[in-house]
Amino acid sequence: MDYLKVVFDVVGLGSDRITLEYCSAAEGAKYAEFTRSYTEKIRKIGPNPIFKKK
Amino acid sequence: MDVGKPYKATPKAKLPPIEALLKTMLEEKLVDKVLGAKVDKDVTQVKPEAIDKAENVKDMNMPAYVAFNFSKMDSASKFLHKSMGGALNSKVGMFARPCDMRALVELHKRRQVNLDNLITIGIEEYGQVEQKSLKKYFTDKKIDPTKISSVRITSPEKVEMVIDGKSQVFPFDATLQICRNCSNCRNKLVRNADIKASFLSGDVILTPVTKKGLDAMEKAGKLLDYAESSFDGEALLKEMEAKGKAKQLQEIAEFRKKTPEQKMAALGSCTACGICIRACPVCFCVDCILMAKRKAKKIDQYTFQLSRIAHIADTCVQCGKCDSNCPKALPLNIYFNDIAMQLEEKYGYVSGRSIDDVPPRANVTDMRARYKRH
Repeated sequence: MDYLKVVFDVVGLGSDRITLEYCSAAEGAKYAEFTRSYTEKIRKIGPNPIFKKK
Repeated sequence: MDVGKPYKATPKAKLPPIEALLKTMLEEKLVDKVLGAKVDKDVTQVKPEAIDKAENVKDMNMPAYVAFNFSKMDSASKFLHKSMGGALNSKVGMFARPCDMRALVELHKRRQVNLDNLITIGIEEYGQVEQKSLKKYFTDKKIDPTKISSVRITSPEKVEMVIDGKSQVFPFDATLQICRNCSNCRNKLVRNADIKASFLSGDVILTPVTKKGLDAMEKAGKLLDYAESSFDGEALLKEMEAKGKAKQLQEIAEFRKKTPEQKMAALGSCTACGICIRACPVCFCVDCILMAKRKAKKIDQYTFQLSRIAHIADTCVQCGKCDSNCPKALPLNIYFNDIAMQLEEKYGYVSGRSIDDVPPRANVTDMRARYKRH
């Protein structure tokens, strides 16, 4: 993950676009909460710079 | 002779020192094959070749190799891995630049090359002359490259060429220069080689580093005269490393100021031609998914380049072959250098420095087990 974050930063995608979170099968609520918050975060960041260009 | 001491080598007959060493290795059956170089059309075009008979080792114009490296996509490490079976089943004697040496270490870690079967002559040099602008320089100065018989970089500022038997000195300028990647190099020291061969001064100075190297050098005594030397190439190289690192840091600082959009846009002109993959000494996947998708035209240029960078960045040895061969002149080096610099800061990992360093992306226990099996 750390390695990919470095790569994402260098090529200009931004390391906040990737994440890794552990949830067990019993933690439904945590999973839902995490998905919701991360989706919101991604929406805020906006589309990928490649597509902005076009 | 002792390990670690520099000796000035002068040929007894006509055969120059590196060629004499390679010839002895074949004659004494220390190796099965050696990697040779042959001048193609002119001295700027040096091509690698595999030699298995001692009598075929001739004058290979090593100074031209040192000044220009193998032309285009060839490099010593790539040739050994692709065309000589990586020395996995046979013993090979070869020479290598510091970047080739790093590539060999990386390939050894991934069991593509066996360093134990190799006798390597690591070459200490100032760097490689920029090939792209060289043709223009020759036309501007009305120099016929076929008439050049010998080339030697005498210092980081000038190059000496023997044209038509006359020796002339050319200072480096905007068109004739040491290529960017070599002047930015922060890993100039020769590591992991069996013999160090310094081309920094006018003479060839050989230093045995391992017992294997010492043995080969002693046996080459019938072709070479050795005299103890006080030449210290390491200090000079360290100075160049410091300069290179400063240059690179400055370049990276400028690169980091760019916006993400600019960074991405710089990769946009990629045509996914695959030359970077073919030129890379550490790209070795047999079934390259990028090449397959490129053939099927199922990949866009960003995905191609980004996948390649993510896949190879921790193995990359900063040899600059992808950058210098790219037909679209993408600034690929800066991406790799930036990632390498950050990996060094984060994990203390420098690719190609030692066979005991475990790449940050690899499973540590898995890598250790692999070393044992080697």
